[in-house]
Amino acid sequence: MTLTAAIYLFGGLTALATLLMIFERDPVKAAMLMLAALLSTAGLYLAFSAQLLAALQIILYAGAIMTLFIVAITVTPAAWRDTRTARPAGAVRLKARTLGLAAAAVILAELLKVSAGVKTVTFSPEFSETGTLDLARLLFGRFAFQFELLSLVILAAIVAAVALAAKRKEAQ
Amino acid sequence: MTGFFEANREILLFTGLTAVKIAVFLGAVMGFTALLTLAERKVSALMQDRIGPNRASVFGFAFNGLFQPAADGIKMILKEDFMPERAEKLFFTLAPFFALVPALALFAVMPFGDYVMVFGCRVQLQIAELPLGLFFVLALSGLAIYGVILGGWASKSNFALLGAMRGAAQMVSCEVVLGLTLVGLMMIYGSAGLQNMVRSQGGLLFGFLPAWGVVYQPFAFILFLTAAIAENKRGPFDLVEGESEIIGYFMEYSSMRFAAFMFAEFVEIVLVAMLAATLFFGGWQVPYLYETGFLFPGGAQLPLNHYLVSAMQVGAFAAKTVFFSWFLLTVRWTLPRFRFDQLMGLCWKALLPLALLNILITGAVMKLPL
Amino acid sequence: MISVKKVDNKPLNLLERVYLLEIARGIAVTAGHFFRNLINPEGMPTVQYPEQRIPLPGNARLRTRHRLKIRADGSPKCVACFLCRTACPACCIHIEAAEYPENTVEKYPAVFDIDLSRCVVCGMCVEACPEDAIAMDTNELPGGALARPDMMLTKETLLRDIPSTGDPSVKGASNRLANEYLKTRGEQ
Repeated sequence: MTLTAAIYLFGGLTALATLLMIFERDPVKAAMLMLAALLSTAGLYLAFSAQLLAALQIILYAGAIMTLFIVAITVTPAAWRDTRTARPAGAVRLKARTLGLAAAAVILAELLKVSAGVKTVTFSPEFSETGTLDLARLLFGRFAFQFELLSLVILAAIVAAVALAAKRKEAQ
Repeated sequence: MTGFFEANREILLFTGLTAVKIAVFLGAVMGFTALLTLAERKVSALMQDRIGPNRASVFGFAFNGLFQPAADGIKMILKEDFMPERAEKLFFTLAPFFALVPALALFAVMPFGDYVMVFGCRVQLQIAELPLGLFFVLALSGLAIYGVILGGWASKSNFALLGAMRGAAQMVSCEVVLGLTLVGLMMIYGSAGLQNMVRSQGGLLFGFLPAWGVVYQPFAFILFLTAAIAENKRGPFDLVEGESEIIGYFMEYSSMRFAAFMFAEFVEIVLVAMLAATLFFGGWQVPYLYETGFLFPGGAQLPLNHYLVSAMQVGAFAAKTVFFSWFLLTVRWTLPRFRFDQLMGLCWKALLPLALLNILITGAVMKLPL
Repeated sequence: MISVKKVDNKPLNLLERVYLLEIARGIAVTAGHFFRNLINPEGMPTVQYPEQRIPLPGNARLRTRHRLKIRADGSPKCVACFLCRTACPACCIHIEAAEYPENTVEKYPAVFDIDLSRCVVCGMCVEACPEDAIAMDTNELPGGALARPDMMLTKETLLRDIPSTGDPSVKGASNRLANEYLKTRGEQ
């Protein structure tokens, strides 16, 4: 009972933090929400008693990658602007929204496909010992395409970073 | 009502015991940390032929400065809680918590003794017996960076941001080394649980040498200590808060918010001291002391009561912690501060390859048919 | 011109570059001091200042708290000429001059304040004084105070004539004018 509650709690937290992150305008706040999402994902792993996965999730993602993200973001001009600044023009906003929604739809569809597939997989009772191996087989075998698709997110992040950094020249 | 207690006897007992353990252990740690703020000033004073703070008194009794931490605490509470006008209010408030909470949470996995029998009940002297305790330590100590980054950025001060940048780069680099130095230990003990690692250090090597981690991995100990001090942001790696140059990420903080940052730093000293004792110096193990009493290599025996043995073991852990805390303070007041590029060079060009080499050699030696 | 001194440091050998031995030697020094002072705290040179004092050297260059000198009749030697106030680099002297009703020759200070919280104990007032009326020989160190008003020295405090017996300042060349004046009144 407690375990199920924990799973729903952390799952809900992850979803909530991710959604808030997507709709957050302030880059640092968005990054912190992403950190919250990563940490609650780690909690989710713990609830599934995959301790190693949870620890690695925190060490690698929260401890190292997000740190660099946030450091990089905090030195961009966007993070030092006053929060009440002019919003981008309507046409740009519309285009960005359409593109973003399209990308989100594609990723969501693929994720749903994956989750439908994962449901059919039966976990061995000693999941916490060998689950990492099963997970790896699934990720790099059957769901390789969807897994690679997720790296698009990282590409988008790189593009966004370049865009954020390029703003500076414009301002000068 | 009794039915409820009967049905949930296990879980209630567990919760109650854990609460008691947290209260006792964390209380001891906090008290020791408060004394450590005094010890830092006293140790530095004594090694520079000064006396140190000795004036804070209650009813005229100063006890050579014993009330100084209390005086400092009262002063910190009474100070103005200042926030820069342009600061990010949310993160400015959150940052001290980010610094303090991971540091305090880490004490959950520290084994401060073996076990004691209380009313026929075997009580483990560790708050949470995680099988992956070492990973837990690494994960949470990595989270402490956010206090530095957020504190530096949210105060919207250039000096604070500089400190935060230095801190982030330093802690990420040293985290890598810290993790790698511990791999050799995990290989030798075949476990990542801290209690298991301490238990494995109970034997004897060659019949007389206590089988402590430092005997197996003396090299890793030096690397670990270096990386841990750097991770801790203490001298000689205190360029994050170099008082004479940039003051650091908590520059705009005052009052109890600043105290939280400062306290987190001292909590981390205790943590590093405890980790060094646990991983490399046998934790609560006393040489030649077994569950039933002393058994010296010559064959001499000294049987002891269970409670006496437990008390000695907890005492040994406390003594090792105190020693390493003193050692860290001494190092901080002895060595000059590193420059930023020197630190980065040390971390990536010296410590990291050496840590990898250490893993390689450990693996090779373990595979040798000895 | 800035002169550049070129230091010819000898290159470190391998043992010194590894740094560990040097760290150990450094810690040995500091730990040695630590334990020596822990075992024998009396050996430290620190003095618990307000309660415990070491005697002042008492040489000619010693400058301690100010005082104003007085004449044999108890009037201040100071003639309120403002030279000390002019010489003071810290602007800590405040003088208000007044005249003796029956004596048209010289003035006297109605108010003579020294703000010790600003004083830098440089001794320039003593050097500037043409009447040798101010001195810094009380052997009292201007110490700390809990409030700023406690650091103000008024004329009354300054006129406490510390070396009361046999003070050469009572006689002396510099109060020639006053002595002559007193002679005309037939009191000496």
